[in-house]
Amino acid sequence: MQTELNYDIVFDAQEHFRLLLDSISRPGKINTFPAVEIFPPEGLTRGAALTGFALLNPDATYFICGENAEQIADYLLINTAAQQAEISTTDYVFIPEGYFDESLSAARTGIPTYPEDSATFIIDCELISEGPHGNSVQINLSGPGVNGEATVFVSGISADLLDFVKEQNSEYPLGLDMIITDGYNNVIGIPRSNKFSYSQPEHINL
Amino acid sequence: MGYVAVKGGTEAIHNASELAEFYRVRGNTTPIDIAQVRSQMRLAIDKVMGEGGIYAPEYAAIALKQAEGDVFEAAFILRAFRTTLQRNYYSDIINTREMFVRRKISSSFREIPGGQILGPTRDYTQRTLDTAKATEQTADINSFLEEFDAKIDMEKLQGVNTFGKVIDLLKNEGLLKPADTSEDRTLTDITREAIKFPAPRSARLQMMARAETGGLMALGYSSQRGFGSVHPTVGELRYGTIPVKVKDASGRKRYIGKIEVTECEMITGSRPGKKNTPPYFSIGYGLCFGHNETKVICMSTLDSAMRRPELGAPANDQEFVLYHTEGVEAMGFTNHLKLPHYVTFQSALSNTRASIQRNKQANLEAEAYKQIQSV
Amino acid sequence: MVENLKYSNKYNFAFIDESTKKEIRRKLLKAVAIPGHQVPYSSPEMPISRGWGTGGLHITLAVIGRHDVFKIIDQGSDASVNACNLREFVNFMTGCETTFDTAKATLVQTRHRITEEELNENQIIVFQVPLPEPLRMVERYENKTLQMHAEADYSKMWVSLYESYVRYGAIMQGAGYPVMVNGRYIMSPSPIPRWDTPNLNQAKTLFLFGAGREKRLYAVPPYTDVEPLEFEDVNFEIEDFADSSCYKTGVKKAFLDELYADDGSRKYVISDSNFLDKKAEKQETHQYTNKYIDQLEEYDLERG
Repeated sequence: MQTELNYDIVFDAQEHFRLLLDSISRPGKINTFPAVEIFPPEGLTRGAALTGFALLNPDATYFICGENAEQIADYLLINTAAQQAEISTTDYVFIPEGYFDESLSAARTGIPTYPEDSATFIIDCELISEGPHGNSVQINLSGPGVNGEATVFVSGISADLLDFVKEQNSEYPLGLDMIITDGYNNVIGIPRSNKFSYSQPEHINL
Repeated sequence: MGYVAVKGGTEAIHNASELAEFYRVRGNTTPIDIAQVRSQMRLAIDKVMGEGGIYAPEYAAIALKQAEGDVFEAAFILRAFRTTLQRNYYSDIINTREMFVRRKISSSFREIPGGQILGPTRDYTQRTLDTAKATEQTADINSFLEEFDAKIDMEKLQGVNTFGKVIDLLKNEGLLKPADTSEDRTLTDITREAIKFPAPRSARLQMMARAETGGLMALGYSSQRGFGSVHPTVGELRYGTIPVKVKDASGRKRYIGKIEVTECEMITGSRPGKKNTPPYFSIGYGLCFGHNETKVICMSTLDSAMRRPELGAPANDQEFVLYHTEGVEAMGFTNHLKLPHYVTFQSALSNTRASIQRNKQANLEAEAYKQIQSV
Repeated sequence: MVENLKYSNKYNFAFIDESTKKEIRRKLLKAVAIPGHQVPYSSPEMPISRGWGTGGLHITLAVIGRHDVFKIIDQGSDASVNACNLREFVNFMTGCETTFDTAKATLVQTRHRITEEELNENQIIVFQVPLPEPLRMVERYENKTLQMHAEADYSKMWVSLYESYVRYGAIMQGAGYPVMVNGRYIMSPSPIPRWDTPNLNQAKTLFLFGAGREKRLYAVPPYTDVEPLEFEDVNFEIEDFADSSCYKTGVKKAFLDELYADDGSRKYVISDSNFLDKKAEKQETHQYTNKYIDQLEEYDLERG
């Protein structure tokens, strides 16, 4: 494994960070990373990889959930020099499509004096779109960054995960923040300040 | 409306900058050689390095020359320069027991291991203005150096050792307060993260190590005068050079050079413990780059003072001491009052005028009421 | 060190090293997720004096890209000497296009004013903040104000405002009027005049705040509730320019600066220099509207 040659650590990082900033500032707005030729290992989308490249460095840590964790961890280490850490102390948790596990309850949600000392979930899903598609979940968003109400449709995300994050965010300002990326370079952000709800599709393709 | 002219702000600042440069060079005298500043203004260099937080004597010399001798400004320039540098390593912890001592004294004991070494100090000279310095020639310096060299006994020089510390004597006798296990011993790096209060001792010492000497002096002095006194006695004051080592990529320890530091271990009273606990001594610690005795004396006094918040004076107050002795921030903010504040002021004017108006109105109504009453 | 294509010197793009940029960026994301909450950050030294805009610069330089169009104002003016110095610095370190035109800018850095023209979804404004802690006026210790925010215990602040009313008949807070953000945190909007404060509420743009010397950054996302602290019967008021108008354009509905001529006579002029230029040249402008400014419809508006 070697560092990605087509990634500019100064200008790509900046451009992608602006997208992430815009996404967290406007929950429900779908942003799209420009096409960058990188080759993340199986289990990590380009969007999630680019999010990691934009935010990780030796002063930050990450934890990889799910399969192929070792390869993904190596990939991030080589490209950002950031180290892994346990879920209970890590800054970023990478969650693959459809994943949820009780172990996520150890992720930091901050303390009243420093609510920002908390984890951010970088969640891969199948597809994010403005209208319904396939067996997408409808997420309704309201709160800071949303003009009234907004909806967005996401497939390949665990309902248990959404319930879990909602639960963790019920004691605002403590909580978790989510960056959701799909296999098409789309990205949305849902900060803990958002009062989101979701509704499952009528029929579920198993 | 020159200060905020609709057009021309850029031109104004360029002219101001050029004018400042003019003031620096208009005497048309020989440009000062950096080597001269470094060599003959040693103590100014040390102060600038200490407050700039970077050990770089040559750059300190350049900064002093650039700033026309303004030590605050020069330290600021060095701090800003420091930010542009890549940080490659953390050194091993320096051990002042390895110091090649140039000066070593103790006020607490008449005789100490290795003796009281006065070293290079003007403490015992009279501060009369030496006009001979005005006509000093290279020949004068050369003949002084020759005579001085002749006095050095090479045999005695071989016998110079490192020296044990005075506080070790106290420790061995059990006179020092045992280490407080409840004290926060986390290692922070205050150049990489904002200080949070109450601050661990590592943060307090770091902040003071690059604090402004005058600020520390004012607060150290206040403590000595009784505003939160910790009854200090100098256990040991040292000035000399220390080797610096780092671990390279393969894990091997490498010597990278030596730096000059001044260190002070101040013996102070400690906080009264539970009943039947003896009144142990406590140590206040001070260390800074270069030769700056005032700084480490006050640093060590304040180190002890800040551990006694219950005494209630400014010197005992962590937030007060650490925030307000940070020279670059203090100089910046005090001077920022020169920036335009007319919008802020306009807002205040608006309030005050309205309030005066309301007051007038209320007085008129009261007058009118009185008149009606009297009719 | 990345090679800076436009300037062949040893400075990294946007001066700050990539490590520090990332730290600031991570903190900014958290700040946006918790509107109004002050997040501590490393705040490295800059070649600009503390108290003169280092916080604003940190955010600008962490956020700015090659293609951004940068505007910077001080007290509303592009020509203010400190703004000129900072503009030169940012331009030198990034090669970005700079502008005086509020409508053209993509990134605006400001000291103590919001632009008179409304900013949109594609613009970001960065405030230079001298004192980020709104509770400092009632509590001098940092570790205590930290607790007050943690527990949302703002009683001391409310008492202080009440006392001001009792003493002077109004809440005597001029610029930098404290606001409640997203119903949770009391925040200092930086020393902007009360005229500007309502424009933070449910706005289209993202507001970022940088206090370099105090080492805190915070944010107000778009479409967020920002309410000036007031009592049911003692309300927040903006400055009153009913008796004055801009001597150059006749405009009343803008924040005006008071000027004194050599003979002691007094006149007023629009504070926002770009807005003044546009009005003087009869160009189209798109000003903020809010319930306080809209009340001024009652007064005789723009003449000339």
